[in-house]
Amino acid sequence: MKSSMAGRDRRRRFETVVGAFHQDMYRYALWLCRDRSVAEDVVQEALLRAWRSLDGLREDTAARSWLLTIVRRENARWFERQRPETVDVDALTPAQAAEIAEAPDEQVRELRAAIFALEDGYREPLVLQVLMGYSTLEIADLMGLNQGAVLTRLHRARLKLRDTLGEAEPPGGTAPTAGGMA
Amino acid sequence: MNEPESIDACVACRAAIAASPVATDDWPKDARTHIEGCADCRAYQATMRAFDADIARALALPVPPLDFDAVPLAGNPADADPFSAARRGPSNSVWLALAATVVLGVIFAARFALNDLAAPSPGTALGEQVLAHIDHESFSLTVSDQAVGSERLARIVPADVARLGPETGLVTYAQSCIINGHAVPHLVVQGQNGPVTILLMPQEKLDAPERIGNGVLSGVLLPVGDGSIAIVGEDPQDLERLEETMKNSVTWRT
Repeated sequence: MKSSMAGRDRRRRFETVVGAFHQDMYRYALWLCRDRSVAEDVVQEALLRAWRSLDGLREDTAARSWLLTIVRRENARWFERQRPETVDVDALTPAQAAEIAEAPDEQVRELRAAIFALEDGYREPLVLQVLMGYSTLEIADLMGLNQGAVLTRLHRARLKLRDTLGEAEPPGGTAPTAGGMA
Repeated sequence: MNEPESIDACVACRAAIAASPVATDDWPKDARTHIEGCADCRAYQATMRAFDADIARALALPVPPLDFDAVPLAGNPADADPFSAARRGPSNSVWLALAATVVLGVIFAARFALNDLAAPSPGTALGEQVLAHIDHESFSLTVSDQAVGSERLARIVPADVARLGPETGLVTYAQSCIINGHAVPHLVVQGQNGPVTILLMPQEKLDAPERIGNGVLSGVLLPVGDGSIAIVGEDPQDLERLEETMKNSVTWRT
């Protein structure tokens, strides 16, 4: 009886935590892998792993960070398992083209296409900051980078997007420095 | 801003802006100081904040509804304590039960609360949590004319918990968030002078209205039945107007 109640409490906690952040999990997975069917697999695996390790989540206030970390690891595992063929990162896949086509207006379509085309190392911190509200320190912690590198990537990501969209920087504005990813 | 030193300061400041247009805590101290006296950099920040709002729209890809039945939890701790499908939808039940005592008092509480408040204080643990949460999701505090879709709004604020009428105003952000271990609807409504955050917290009972603030944002926690509503923004007039509006547009159902 006691065990049954504990199980129900555990299940209720799982549903509350996951229900609150499922949308974030899904979008994060989708922007990591850029493919809806892969994102669904990744989120499914992440939910299973979250269920198994729910007791390790001490505070529900840390739930979102905990779940997104799981999604990130599951995404990496998925690509390790599948070893997908190398693709031209500049070319949109049919799945990505479909996501773009569903955008509500032209501005979103153009921006969404530009974000899809960003390198992974630029796109991920941007998603975490703009969509998830992460601070640069939290992004650094999740991605295993230092804060300076995160700031540089975010700076470059936005300038790349503005450049792609033909948005002019103001006089004295910043331009992306030459060189590789921080 | 023609002096070379000033140009350098502008470039450094704009690099900080482009890295983090909204959360200025992430900036170097020099950039935070510089922008206060540089209209050009403030204009650049406004541009980048607007750009971030566009990015947020582009990133908001549609998400399929979560179906817990489709998650194969067998073969894990669920086996030790099987979960009956008959219990599906406990969230609604819990919401309904917890909201059961949140009744028409919201109308009167919301109407009079702001007038009866004591002087602002650092806030209780709940107030601190609310402000910390708003700060954590500061990206939601953008001026926007993009309304949240009615389907999403209905999902975040189920009809058996509360009803938001058109008088509530333009809802530009709706998310289910966790406060004190409970999932609560977090909304941002566009006020006349900026965005206003509303948190509907049926589980957070308060004895009296409580002013909260952190120097930038201010607001109130209003007791409503066995729960409470947080209304937080930058402009006191907006808060007052919204409080007036809320009494006509929010109905807690029992």
